[in-house]
Amino acid sequence: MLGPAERDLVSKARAGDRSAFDELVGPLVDQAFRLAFGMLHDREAAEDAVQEAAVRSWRKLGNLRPGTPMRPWFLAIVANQCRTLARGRWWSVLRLEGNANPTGSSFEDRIVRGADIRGALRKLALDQREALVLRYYLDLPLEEIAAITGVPVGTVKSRINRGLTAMRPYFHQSEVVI
Amino acid sequence: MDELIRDRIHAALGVEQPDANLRSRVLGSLPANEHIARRSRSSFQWVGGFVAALLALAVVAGLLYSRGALSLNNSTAGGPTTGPQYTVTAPLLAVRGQPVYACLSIELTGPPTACGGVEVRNVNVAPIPGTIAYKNGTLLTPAVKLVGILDGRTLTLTELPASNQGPGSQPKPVSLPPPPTSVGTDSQVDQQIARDMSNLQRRGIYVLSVGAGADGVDVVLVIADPTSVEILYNQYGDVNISGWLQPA
Repeated sequence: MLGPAERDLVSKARAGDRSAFDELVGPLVDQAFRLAFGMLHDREAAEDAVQEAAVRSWRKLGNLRPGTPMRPWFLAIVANQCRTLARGRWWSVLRLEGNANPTGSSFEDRIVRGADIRGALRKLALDQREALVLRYYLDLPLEEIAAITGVPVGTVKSRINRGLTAMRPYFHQSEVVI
Repeated sequence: MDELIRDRIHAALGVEQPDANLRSRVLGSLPANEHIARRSRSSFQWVGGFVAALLALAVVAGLLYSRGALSLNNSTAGGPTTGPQYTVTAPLLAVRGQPVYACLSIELTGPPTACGGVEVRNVNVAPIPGTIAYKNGTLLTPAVKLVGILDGRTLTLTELPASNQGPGSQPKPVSLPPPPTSVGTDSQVDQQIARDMSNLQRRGIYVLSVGAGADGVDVVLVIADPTSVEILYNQYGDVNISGWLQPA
């Protein structure tokens, strides 16, 4: 639930107060970028997604349901934007796949850079990738991930579990349970 | 295990950190005065009359609602008229051109396009107090208490939706203890249930969500009646079953 201070900022921002909006959304920009980069694997596209999400949330602040906390609402808009971009940027994914393992890089180098894991994440279905990024990169609780993605907690767990199962070789563990 | 996964994903994705100026660039990109302009224009030109008309409509709708004239909608009737009654407290989502749903989970972004839950018939959403009406015609109510007859995954209301100040119902774990062993690892059972959804539906078991957690596989059913629970226990062994709708 919203605290009194956040509720006050939301009211001011809804009335057009940009500094109030800055106070609400500003602290979330880094997390939003990490979510977007985790989903899109493209720095430029991630920045675009965050920027577009901020504009959308500014325009749609009137749609923020009373009592809805800001972080899951804003991250949900970022995730939606990423899904839209991901659908329209298949060429970018192909381009990145081509560059995932540059010739000449050593095994150690690839491990250090996490290229294998990034490549494996890119091969996941977008809903599984989104759930893994929210859980293990943004370290969000399952309930908040459910709110962001609009599915029950059980479905979030299932997506995470299926994503981890597909990535099992990269975690060197026979069983993965969230 | 969680820590290992977290560390590896952080290491893999942490190669790209947000630019130090990203915050100022993002917030600087907001359309100048658009938000304020739209609101102030509306305040001074036509919204006053519009709001007055809306208020008048709301008063009339509220009166009709309190008399029960609008909430049960005959146009969406057609479900069973007899049978055991079930209840759940949940928000209702009406997306134009689609059935009304009682939502266990719902998208936070607006307007929502879908939700996970059960279809609801014999209901008129618009007059329910507190309903949010989005510009595209989508309607979303606060959590309301619903009572009706369940047919598969469709709840045909027999009573008016009742306003509720609290949150929606959470799935309730069944009291029947699970068998001591499972038929596979949590991950295998989770995936097997996901594959078996259609077969389970043919047997009248409707799964709302399934997922493997730290304490086993969680399965949420529309209704967790003893027969369904026994079938699942026999088929999958040790799983955590809960039901969303409860007998009224």
